[in-house]
Amino acid sequence: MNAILAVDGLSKSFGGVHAVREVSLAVPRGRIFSVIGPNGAGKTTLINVLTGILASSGGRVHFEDRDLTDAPAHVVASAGMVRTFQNGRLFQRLSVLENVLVGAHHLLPQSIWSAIVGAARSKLDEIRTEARQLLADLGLADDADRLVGALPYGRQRMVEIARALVSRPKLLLLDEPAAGLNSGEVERLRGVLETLRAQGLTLLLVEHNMGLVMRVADRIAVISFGEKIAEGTPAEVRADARVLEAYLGHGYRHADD
Amino acid sequence: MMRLPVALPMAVIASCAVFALALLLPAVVSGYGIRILNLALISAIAVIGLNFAFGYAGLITLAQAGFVGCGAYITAILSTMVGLSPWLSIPIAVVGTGVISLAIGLPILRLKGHYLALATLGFNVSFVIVATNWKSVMGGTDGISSIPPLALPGWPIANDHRYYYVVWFALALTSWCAWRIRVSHLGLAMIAVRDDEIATGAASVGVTRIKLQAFALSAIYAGLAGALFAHMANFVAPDDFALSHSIVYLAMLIIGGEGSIAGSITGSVIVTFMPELMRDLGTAYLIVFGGLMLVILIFLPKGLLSLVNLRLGRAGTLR
Repeated sequence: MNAILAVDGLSKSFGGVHAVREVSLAVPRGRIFSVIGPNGAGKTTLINVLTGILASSGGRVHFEDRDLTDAPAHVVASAGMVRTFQNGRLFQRLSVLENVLVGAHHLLPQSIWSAIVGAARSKLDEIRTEARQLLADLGLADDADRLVGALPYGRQRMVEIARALVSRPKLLLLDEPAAGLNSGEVERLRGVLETLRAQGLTLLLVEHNMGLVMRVADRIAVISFGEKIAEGTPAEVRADARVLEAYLGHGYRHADD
Repeated sequence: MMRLPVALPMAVIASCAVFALALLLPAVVSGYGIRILNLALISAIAVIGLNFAFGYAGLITLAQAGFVGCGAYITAILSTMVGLSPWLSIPIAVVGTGVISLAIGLPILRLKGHYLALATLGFNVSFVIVATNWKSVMGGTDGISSIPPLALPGWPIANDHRYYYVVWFALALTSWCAWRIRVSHLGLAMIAVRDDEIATGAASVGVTRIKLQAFALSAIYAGLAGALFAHMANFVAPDDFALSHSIVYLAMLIIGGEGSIAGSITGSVIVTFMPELMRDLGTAYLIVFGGLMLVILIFLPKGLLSLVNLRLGRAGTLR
């Protein structure tokens, strides 16, 4: 299998708590790969370790044949593995458009000189045009010049996706993008995710909203108490006894009887 | 040409008009007044610098007067003991101050908040101690005197009225550079770092690098301010660069409006002229100063310039 992201035995412990325990994943290119699990299973910790927010306690992360284990966050993002956050982390003092432009930082020359008189200026103008188009595609055309805090929550989540997309990611990691969205907004999100997949982007979707996951995911991994307990297509995962046990608790079979 | 939000061209036009009108000031301001004005504009350069570190990137630094001192002493030493032309010693002082800030910034920018404030405070205090005790090079408490004035062929810039144009040009140029940086990806990244460091890193910004750039920019601006001060006063001594001056720079920035270039200039001019306008009060002016500071912090947390921004309809975004 042609995996864009290969996670091999990744662990993360906080003192004696094993938040992630030897998890291995192979995320296939151009698909929506979903990671699900009960609250506190370690899904967000997993994403944090993958994207350089937290240091791992063991295991390796390979992204497109590059070893990105414990690489700093900006290196991971520059390599093409870009994430969004569970609670929506935007820059409150910047406009919507400016928030999105921050995501393009690694595409621009880094010197102060180039920012004042050099190539960074014309390049930023190009990216600004691109970012406006991206915002328009996500239904945020009229919000581009507003302060980001003035937007309703659902739209703020979309701004975060736009900020990730302007980085030109190869793999987009979404940490509970549907959390707090109403059903209309979830439908819109589903459309966005499917469009991105159709454009060839790989998505790693951590999500609680089972309706969404079961409909869009090509493959699902289930994590419980930091360990991967199952992996397969949505149909396979839905039928897996260990998954039902993790979600519903031990003894659900007796309730059936 | 990039598209600017509606209010910004007005702000740019207004700023340019103020700068152009300021060129006429030497014709109407008396001898002592122009000296104070020069000091105000020199301070403004240091405060615009501080705005990168504090206003944009949120780095609480109390080292600004120390960096002003670095610039002043480097050009003073080079133009007296070494005998370099000020036109050469000033750029060397600016670059030298930048290098010093990188050497300090690399280790201490790992610190955050109060810890960073303390570390930068330590630098400023150390600078004064070194300047006071390293008599052979920095002249001790006597400082360095007989610093040569700037001169153009056939037009010595020996008086404050002429020097005003030098300072005006330096302020105009540095304001323009600061504006360019603010609207670039570097300015955006600096503001982003202050709002949310983790999200900034995840958005592909090298957080350490951008903090270092903001810190070095603040020092480079301070170095220029110090060098201009040295060649105007023709004399430098440790007291001019004490920690209390770092706090005054911070006060200028907050009174004018942190995060704003125009605010930096406004605050510098107001705070520099205030003791002169209230000279009859003697040291009691400090009470007025403290009171003003309190009023602004409580009612105008974005500084005096936020009053203008309200009129322009986009509060807090005039930069």
